[in-house]
Amino acid sequence: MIWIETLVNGLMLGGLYALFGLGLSLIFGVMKIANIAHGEMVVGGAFLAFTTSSLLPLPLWMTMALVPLVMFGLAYVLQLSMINRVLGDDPMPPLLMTFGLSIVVQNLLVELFGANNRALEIGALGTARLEIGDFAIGYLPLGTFALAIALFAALHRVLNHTGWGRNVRATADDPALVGIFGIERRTVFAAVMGLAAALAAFAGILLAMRTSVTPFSGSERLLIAFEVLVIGGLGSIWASLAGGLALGVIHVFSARLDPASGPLYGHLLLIAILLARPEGLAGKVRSR
Amino acid sequence: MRGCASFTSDRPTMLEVRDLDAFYGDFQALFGIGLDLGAGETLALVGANGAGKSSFLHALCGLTQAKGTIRLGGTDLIGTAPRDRARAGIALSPEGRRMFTSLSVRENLEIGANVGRSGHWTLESVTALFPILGEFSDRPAGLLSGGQQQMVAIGRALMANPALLLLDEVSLGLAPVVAQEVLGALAGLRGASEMMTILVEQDISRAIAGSDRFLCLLEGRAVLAGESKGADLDAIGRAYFGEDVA
Amino acid sequence: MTRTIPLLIALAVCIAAPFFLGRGMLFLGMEIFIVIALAQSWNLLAGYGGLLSLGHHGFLGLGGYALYLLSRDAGLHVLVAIPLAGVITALFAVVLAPILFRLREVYFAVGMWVSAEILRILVIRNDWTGGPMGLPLAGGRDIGREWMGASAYWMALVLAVGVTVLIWALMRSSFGLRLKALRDDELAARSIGVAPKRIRLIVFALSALFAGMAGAVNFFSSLFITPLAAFDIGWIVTIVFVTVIGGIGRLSGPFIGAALYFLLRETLAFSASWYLVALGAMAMAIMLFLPGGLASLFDRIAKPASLQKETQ
Repeated sequence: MIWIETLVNGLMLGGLYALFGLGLSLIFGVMKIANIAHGEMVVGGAFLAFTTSSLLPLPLWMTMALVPLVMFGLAYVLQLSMINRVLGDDPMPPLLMTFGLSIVVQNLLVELFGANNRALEIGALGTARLEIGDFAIGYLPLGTFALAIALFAALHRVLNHTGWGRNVRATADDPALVGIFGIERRTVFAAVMGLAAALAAFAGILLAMRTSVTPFSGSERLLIAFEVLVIGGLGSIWASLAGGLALGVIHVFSARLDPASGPLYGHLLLIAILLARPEGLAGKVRSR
Repeated sequence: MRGCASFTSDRPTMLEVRDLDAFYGDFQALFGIGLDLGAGETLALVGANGAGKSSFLHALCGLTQAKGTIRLGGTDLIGTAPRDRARAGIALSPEGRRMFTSLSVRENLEIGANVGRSGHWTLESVTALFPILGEFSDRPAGLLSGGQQQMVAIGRALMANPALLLLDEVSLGLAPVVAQEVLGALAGLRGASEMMTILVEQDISRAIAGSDRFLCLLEGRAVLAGESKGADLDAIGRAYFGEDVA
Repeated sequence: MTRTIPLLIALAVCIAAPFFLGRGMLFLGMEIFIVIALAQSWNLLAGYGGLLSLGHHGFLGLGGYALYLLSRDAGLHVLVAIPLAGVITALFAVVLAPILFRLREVYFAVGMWVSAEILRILVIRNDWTGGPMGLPLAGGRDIGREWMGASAYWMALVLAVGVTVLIWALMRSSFGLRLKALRDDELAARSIGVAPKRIRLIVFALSALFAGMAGAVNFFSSLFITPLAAFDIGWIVTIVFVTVIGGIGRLSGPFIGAALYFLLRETLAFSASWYLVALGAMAMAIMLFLPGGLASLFDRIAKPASLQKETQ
């Protein structure tokens, strides 16, 4: 029974991991760049939530709606004013740019909030458990998982069944051409970056409900998001879900079997995947 | 000899190009091209590889930097973004077809309608022109054959209800039978509306047969222009290769 | 040629520095040359090889630990163990390459980071490497106490100059031409018979060699090593900012960047985090407005010199 419970807990955690990876996957899919500041967007979302919940008497659900909205706006402006200007054939400038950004955000958070641990106060929700016979599972992980799946489904729907999503996919296919069909790729990129940041911020709030975070928690989440992408496989958002679930299960099992290992086995899984199946668990084989 | 060849149309001029220079970075691809085109006319653009035919089309729809004048229906479009040219009515079927491979056939066509110009061309009328596209409308465009992809590319451009349709090498790489099918469908469109067409074609005789006028480019300059009807194919051939044009 | 004489004088002054600098200044000098050597080894990989690494702190830590283990378990003299530590780091890179080279451009960077993380965790978990508490340097008395500071300084100087001269020489060889072709256009390079994998592997191993030796020298001077210090992510932040601000893909970039970095660090009374905010913002501004870094600014001022260089 304990092993089934561990497995289920791993899958629940994997839902959150998949959500870390979702925005990164979206950005890579559309712009072919890696956003090194993605982890800081996750953590930034958590810190924005701390701030709003201490300044305004908002219910939790409103914070969860407001913070991603703010992050969308910030990232939209960031993309338009800076990252668009360094996009090109060379992947290095945007990568270095976002690396610089991640260090700036991380240290701004330290100056503004201090380097201490913080978590979102959610009261009894944090410990409430759903019990079915011998089997028990926390409402929080369950809710996190459900929200993650719902967001994956929503993004899938937006990308595949709306005019905007169609334009985004066209831009990903051939950014140089879409202008002649009335699509402004700069604003498509900005909206995609905004959406990715909003998803990251939302994941950050869920993270801060579950555990405490510091301004330095971003790099660990970036590595998780990155491993989710590579383990799952590039090319589809559902592959990221598969990667997230696999990584979540590995982390929970290794924490039980080898408590001092930290993220080690997740890293090793990455190496194993690169050796055995470089296209990822659910990725398409690339022709290139 | 290699002066600036140009001509005037007897129909009301809809497209007016003057002194058009085009650039790829520091490289100048076109030098002082001029032409007039009247409503409903088809112009064939001929010339060897690298003569600047595609550059000319790209300069018209804003995909490459250009200087000079491009007046469509009275508005000068030079310096505007590709999006604004599309809204003004310029549509391109690009060389190599350039499908949006992760989009279905229908979605590719819908992309063409993004600019929001209304008119004869809709999903229905495009699939009436190329029935196979209706049959395959939910397939990923990348999985179609070359000829079918070419139909999608043309249909995608038509969906914008363009005032000026640019066709870049529509028969390139197609089996002769398929090329005939595509060109046949296009021939049916000629003169049926106010839409102007500029087509780029390797095969001179095919280009001349399918057009009202022609313009021959050599190394980025216009070297010969005239009526397609009764045109001297030998003279065009010589201009094409840069031999002395009398 | 006019530039050779001032350069030689500067080099002579740097070599003689231990005879007139105090201990504190000498330590700072060593730190500067370590950073230059690391930045230059990163520059070789990223700026010349087109492979951006966010895991060079892994090489640095590995080199450091290799020195400590060679000194303790093999009883090697530090002067033998330090170059050997570099060789071990390079061998590690050769083993790692086939795995990481499967990652496309951007993911290679993070893949390097993950491998540095793996090394860090393995070192922490292993008693043989001293676990989280770290290790003292067994061969700490191999060099007399009065010569410790000076020898660490000289080794750092040799590394910084060595890696710079190596890049300079490489870029004038046919290997450098192939590397340049590969960075500019891989497809075209392949078509003229350049073998991308082998060339990248060589650059990768050379970069690791110098980063590993720099790590060994750095922790030789500290006489103690901990996983926290050896695999500190702060190293890569410094290396990247120094190179980017100075000028990525330029020989003078790491020197200019390091000069600015240490000048600011030693004069400004900012807190560490404001300092990093400022550096990060500066790196972002450089990417936006001056992608060639400050070195390109110097080139612009001294145009004739740069023209000469390019026609060589």
